[in-house]
Parts: sequence; structure tokens; C-alpha cells
Amino acid sequence: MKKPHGGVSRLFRYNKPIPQPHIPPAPKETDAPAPEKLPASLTASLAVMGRIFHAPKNADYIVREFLIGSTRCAVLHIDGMTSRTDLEEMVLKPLQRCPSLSSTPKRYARELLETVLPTGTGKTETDPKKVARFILGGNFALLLDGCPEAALCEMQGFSKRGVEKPVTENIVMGPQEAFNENLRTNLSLLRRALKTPDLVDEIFDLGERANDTLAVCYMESIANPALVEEVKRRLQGIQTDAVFTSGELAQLLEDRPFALLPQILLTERPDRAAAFLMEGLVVLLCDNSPHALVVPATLAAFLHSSEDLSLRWQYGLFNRLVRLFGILVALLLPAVYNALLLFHQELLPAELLTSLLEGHAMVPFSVTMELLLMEFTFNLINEASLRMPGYMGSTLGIIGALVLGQAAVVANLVSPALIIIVSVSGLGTFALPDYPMSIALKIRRVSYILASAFFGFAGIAALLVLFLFCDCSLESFGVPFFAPFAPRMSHNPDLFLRLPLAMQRLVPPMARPKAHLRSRAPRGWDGQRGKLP
Amino acid sequence: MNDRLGGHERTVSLTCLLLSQLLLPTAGPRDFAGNAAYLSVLVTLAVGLAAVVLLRRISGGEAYFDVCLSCGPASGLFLGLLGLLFFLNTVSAFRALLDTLEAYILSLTPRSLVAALLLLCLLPGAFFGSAPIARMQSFYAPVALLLYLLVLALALPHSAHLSNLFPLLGEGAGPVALQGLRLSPALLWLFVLLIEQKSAPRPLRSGLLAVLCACLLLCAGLFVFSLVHAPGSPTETDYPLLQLASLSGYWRYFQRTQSVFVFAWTPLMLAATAAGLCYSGRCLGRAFRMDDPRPVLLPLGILLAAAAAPEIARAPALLRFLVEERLYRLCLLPPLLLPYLVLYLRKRRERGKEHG
Repeated sequence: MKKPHGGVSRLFRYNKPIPQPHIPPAPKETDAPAPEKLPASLTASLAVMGRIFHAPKNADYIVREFLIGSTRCAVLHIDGMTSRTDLEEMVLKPLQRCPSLSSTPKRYARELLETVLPTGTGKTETDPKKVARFILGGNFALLLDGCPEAALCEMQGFSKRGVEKPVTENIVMGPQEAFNENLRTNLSLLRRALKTPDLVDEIFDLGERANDTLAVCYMESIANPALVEEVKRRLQGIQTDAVFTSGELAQLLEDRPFALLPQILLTERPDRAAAFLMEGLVVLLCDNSPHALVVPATLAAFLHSSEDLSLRWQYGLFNRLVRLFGILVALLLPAVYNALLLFHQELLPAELLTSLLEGHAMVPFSVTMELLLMEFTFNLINEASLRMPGYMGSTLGIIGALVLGQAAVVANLVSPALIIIVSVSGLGTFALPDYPMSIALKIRRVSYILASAFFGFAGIAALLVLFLFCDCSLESFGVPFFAPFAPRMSHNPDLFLRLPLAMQRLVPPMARPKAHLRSRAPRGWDGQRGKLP
Repeated sequence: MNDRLGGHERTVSLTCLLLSQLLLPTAGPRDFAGNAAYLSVLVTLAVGLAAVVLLRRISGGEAYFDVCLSCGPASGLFLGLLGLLFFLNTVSAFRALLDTLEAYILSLTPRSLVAALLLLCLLPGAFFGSAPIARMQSFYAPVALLLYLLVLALALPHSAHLSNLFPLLGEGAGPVALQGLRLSPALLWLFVLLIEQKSAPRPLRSGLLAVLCACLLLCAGLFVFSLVHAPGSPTETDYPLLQLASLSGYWRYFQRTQSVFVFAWTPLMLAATAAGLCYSGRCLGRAFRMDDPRPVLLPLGILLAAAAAPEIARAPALLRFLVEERLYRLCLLPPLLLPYLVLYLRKRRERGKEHG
């Protein structure tokens, strides 16, 4: 009997399984490794380079062949990475006008670099991998028939971001420039801040598949050679396919990856990086990353802002005290509030306690649950406003803070005092100048809230001890995290307090620098009689 | 384990270790010496200073481990005994902390639960070694000192009367001196100087400074206590300084600050317990010829919690004797006799080698 078409069966008639494409496992790489030296023949050289760049599949790998006299030549570059106009005007035209090459074929590349090619940073190279890496940096290579060397010249022409204002380390007084994603620009910013030949920058390549360039910067006359060597040893020991950002690099370099606190400082300010260099620390600049890494890092460095030194010491001291108080509040205030209401009511005067409990009476949650909910909401608003475009982010912040908070109080979901507590602790978090550290602070705040919910002040104290033990055992490149406070070392009056610049005569001793004294008399003129009219 | 210490950390750490034991004595000095209890601390100070000098002379600048190991077959025994003394002191400190928490903050929470929580927090410290513990103490000491002085200052305005200090010698010179001796077992912590003699610079200076600071701070606390309590008035003498904190009040918002006092003191007590665990582990580890004593620490920690968690009335008689009675009957004798014995044996052995 023929089944009728219709009803439910009709619905399933076309519900055949969609054929899934079968993707077999990728075959293992069987390509023969590239030779260590370029062959003399241009055809063979182009074949070697073509294999490295996967030509002709790779569309932006450009090979431009031409003749100089009777010698075959080729310019290799990546489309869009090199300035095409400059290449045409300054390289190809002069080369094509060149009648012939006079030296022996082995010296062709050197001859052209010395006579025709206009670029100031030319060099020759025989290793095809290094030639490829150079081309990938936005430059071009010139290969000549009969010559086993490639002439390499810089001619970067890719678009890049200009030097802009810092995003996460804004200050009112002081330089307003920030690093960007270009290593050369960043090095020049650093050089502009520190005009001294003592500043050394060594270039390294990282990543086994995708190379990233990195500069290790230090002051030759100040930095401890053992520290520099340790940094280089760790960099050379990194075995990964690619490193994209300085944040990733920091994670590969730090001493204890499981510790909550960051052990390497990231800064986007050239002036701050320069100040660290003058303290004998090492600064790492990663290409494609607008943050410099500073090693070793101690707790004090995470608490300082570059503005502290620009301001007069009284204002800097005041700001720093406010910041330290803010951090303390951000860390402990919600937990202390929780402990006070749950365990230690006797500490509060009766009127205040009554007022707090009355505010909480209509709320269906416990104080701890309220705190955790508000913490979550606050962090949600913060996270959402970070991802939103600028104007929408600020709108979202206002909506979150005013509308949601007010509505939650009216709906008796949270007590008014708790809104104040969470807001103040949230503000305290923003007082911390370092973004990764502020995230660690948020995590610890939640831990303290939970500890106070179970054991009151005793829980907070016990957790404080646990965290302090962990933090005190931390070291950043062999330097204790709490140095120079614990272990104690002689230091400038610029640790938790900030006193006059004239009193800051020492190079901070944490990294055991070569130089110990910054200046004997910062105000050397003081005490000498001047000639005022 | 990180055991490299600077002179400053050593001094601060030792002061904190001594104070942690002295500030929460389970039987208050005032019970015995009356309103002159603060003077008895001066006796403890004298004993402590003498002990530091004596220990230094006995060891002759060598670390205790090295001295012991040169004693031949009995070396393990001496190291084990020292480890036991540290362990008992640690149990005593941990028990005092648990008693305090039970009396003032967590009266409804089972002691065993609190002990387990605290053990979890202090074990990492013992694992990391003495240097992170000392750094933690150096970092936290100013905060604790500030809170301690705040509590003392807040207690003064209400009921301080100079007349409370009279009679100046309280129950008499004898009880005052005896009370001073009764406090002195806490000075066992001075042995830390012997253990770390090689790694910490200037141990004599550190020891003298630490004893001086600890005793003066305790003296200040008991002096304020005597100032605000009339002689012979009934007081809760088990925790004189906590009682002081509970009496303190200023304006409307600073009242009954004993929780603040406990909050300030708990980290230092926990650090002291972690240090005790670390040192006893190191001594026992050496006794068993272990390069890394960390495997010993977890079992020791569990033993510590098991010994400190039960209320003293329910604790086994042996434990009661070792932890409670020991403090007041044996005083400093075992700690001071032990190095003498070690030194004597070593000299005898050296002489025997020379003759043989």
C-alpha cells in the first residue's frame, strides 16, 4: 500500500542527513629542509626562496625579475609590507639604469650595496631563512645570478599606528606618549627618553614557526650582567611556535606561573621604561606589542605611578597615600563589612548597627550573598564597558552605576550600605596603576569575602597569612617580590612614601646594579651663593 | 626551601616569634605577680639577654646542626630532641591561638575545624622555608605594632590611674622574679639563632635586639594593664591584653576592640606556628639525614593540629604535661642543657680522637 504524502511524514521527507565533508588527518611535513646557504644560480636561489614562501600559492610574495646589463636579478618582497613607490623610484629604476656590473659575480651584491642601492642599512646574507625573515620584516632582498649572497635593504612601507596617548597609564602631568606596535618606533621613543650610548638594545628572534622580533634593552653601565644573561638565557630557552604579544612573553618568562600576582611589570609609557632602565632593570620590547616588559619587578613598582615623580613631593606623597589606602579598602572593606555584620557586631555602635541591619532587613539574601552578587554585577559592568566603544562604554557605566544600583535598592535586592561598600571598593581597585595587579586584587577580594563569611576576622587573618606566605616566597628573576622592604635593603625614600627628589640618591639595590649611587648632590647648587639682581 | 635571611629579617622575625608566645600566655602574669607584673618581664629580659650570650659562646659561631653532627652516633638524638622542643613550643603557641579564637571570636565553631583551617593556611609557609616566613613577619610587623599600640592608647583615657601602680612591687620581689622565670620558656625561640647561624649575619646582635624589643613591648602592655586596673581587682587574667583590648574605647566608633586585637595578632601567631613547624621539621629532617625536610612537614602538621585541637581538659595526660606543665616547671633547663651536653660530647670525642 502506498503511503500518503502529507502530515508529519512529509515534514521528515527532506530531513536527510547533510553530507559532512571528510577531512583526513594532515600529512606530516615531508618537505626537505631549506639549504643553509643560497646557491649561486639565480634560478636555484629563487626555487629555494619560493619553497620557503610557498610560492606560487602565497599571493603576496612578489618576485620582480630584471636585468642589469646581462646579469639576471630579482627583487623579493611582500606586497603591502614594502613601500612600493620607494621600491620603484629608489631601487628598481637605478638598478635598471645601471649599465653592467664590474666586479666578480661573487661580489655583485656587495658592489650594488656600495654603489647603487640608496638605503643606509644594507647588508648581505647567505642563509635563506634569515633572508626570508628579513623580507617578512617589510624589507626587500636582491638576488643576483652567479652571486651566492643576497643584498638586503630596509624599505618598510606597511601602515602602522602613530605614537598616541597611553590608554591604561594615563597621567595629568608628565609625557603623554605611549609605545605602539612597531619595535623601531618603540626603540626610538626609548632612545629619545635616554640620550646615552650606554643604552644597549639587543635584538632576538622568538618563535619557531612565526618569528617575532624582540629587543632586550639595558644600561650597560648600570645593569647587572648576571641579570642580563639570565634574561637572555630564558629568552633562548623559549620553545614555542609563536609569541604574539608581550603579555604572552611575560607568561613564558616569569618565575612562578601558578602564583596569583604578576612577576613581570608591563608598561606602555616610554618615560617609565626609561626610569626603570636607569634603576638597572632590563626592559623587553616586543614587536607588535605596545607594552614593554620590565624585569625584575617588585611590589613597589606595581604600586607606583610615573606621575609620582613629576609632581612635587608633597602632592606625590598625598597621591600615593590615597592610592595605598584605596588599595587596602579595595582588598578588605567588603570582607570586613561582612565580618562585622556576621561575627563582630559588638565593634559597631548600636545606632550604626541598627541602621545597617534595618537596611538589610527586607533583603532576601544573606549579607555574603548580597556582596558576591554586587561584586559580580560590578565586574560585569566593568567588563562590558571595557569591550564597548568609548562613548557607549561610559553610558553603560552610568546606567550600571545609577539605574541598576537604584533599582536594586528600591526592589529590596540589596541594602543601600552595601552599594556604598562595593562602589568604594571598586573605586579603590581603579586606584591601582597596574591592570593585571588590579585583577589579582579583585580575585583576592572575593576570597576574603568568602573567608569572612565562614570565620569572621579570624578567616580574614588566616587568608591574609596564606597570601602573604605565598607572596613573600615569590621572586622575580631572583629578586624577592617584597624587596627592598622584606628582605630589607638600603633604598631611596620612595617605597611606600615619596619624599623629596633631593633625598633620592641611590640606584635601587634590588637588581644588584653595577652603579650604586645615582647622584651625590641632586641639588648641587643649593648652598652656593648665587648672583640674583 | 628558602632559608637565606638578612640581619633585619632575623631580628624582626625573632621579635615576632618571642612576642607571639609572650603576649598570649595561658596563665596571666598578673595572677602571680599582681600589679607589678610588668616588672617581671624585666627579669625575663635579663634571662633572655643572658641566654643569647650563652648560646653564642657555646656554639662558638658554628651552626647547631654542624656541632651536633660532629658528636658521633648521638647526633640524631640531639637533633631529634631539639625538634621535639620546637614542636612542643609550636603546639603550645597554636593551642594559645585556638583558645583565644574560641574565647573571643569563634565560640560556636568546633575547635577541630578551626585548627584544620589554620593548618591549611600555615602549612605553605612551613613548606616555603624560614625566609618567606621572616619576610612575611617583617612586612606585617609594623601593622601589628601599630594596632597593638592603638589598643594600648585607647585603653588609657578611661580608667588609667597612677595610684594603681602602688605598691610598686605588687605581691613582692620573690613572686615578681618567679613570674619572670615562668615566662622564660618562650625564649626557646632563641635557638633559631643557632640553627641559622651560618645564613644570618650578626646573630648575637639580632638575638639581643629581639629579646629587648619583645620584652619591652610586653612590658608596655602589662604596664598599661596595671595602670587601668586597681590592685587586687578581679580580672580575667588568662588573657590580660585581650581584656585590655575589650575595655578600650574612644569616641562612639572605637569600642570593645578585642576582635581587632585578635585580628592583629592572629597572623603573627600563625607565622610563629609555621616557623615552629618549619624548624622542628628541619631538625627532624637532619636527624634522619634528609637533605630536604619538606616530606616531614605534612605529618608534623597533622600531629600539631591533633595535639592542639582538643580542649586541654580532654587532652591526654602526657600531652597536658608536655605542653602545659612543661612551660612552668621546667623553664629554660632543657633548652640550655642540651647545647652544653652536645658541646661536652663533642669535646670528649675530639679528645678521644687526639689520644687514639
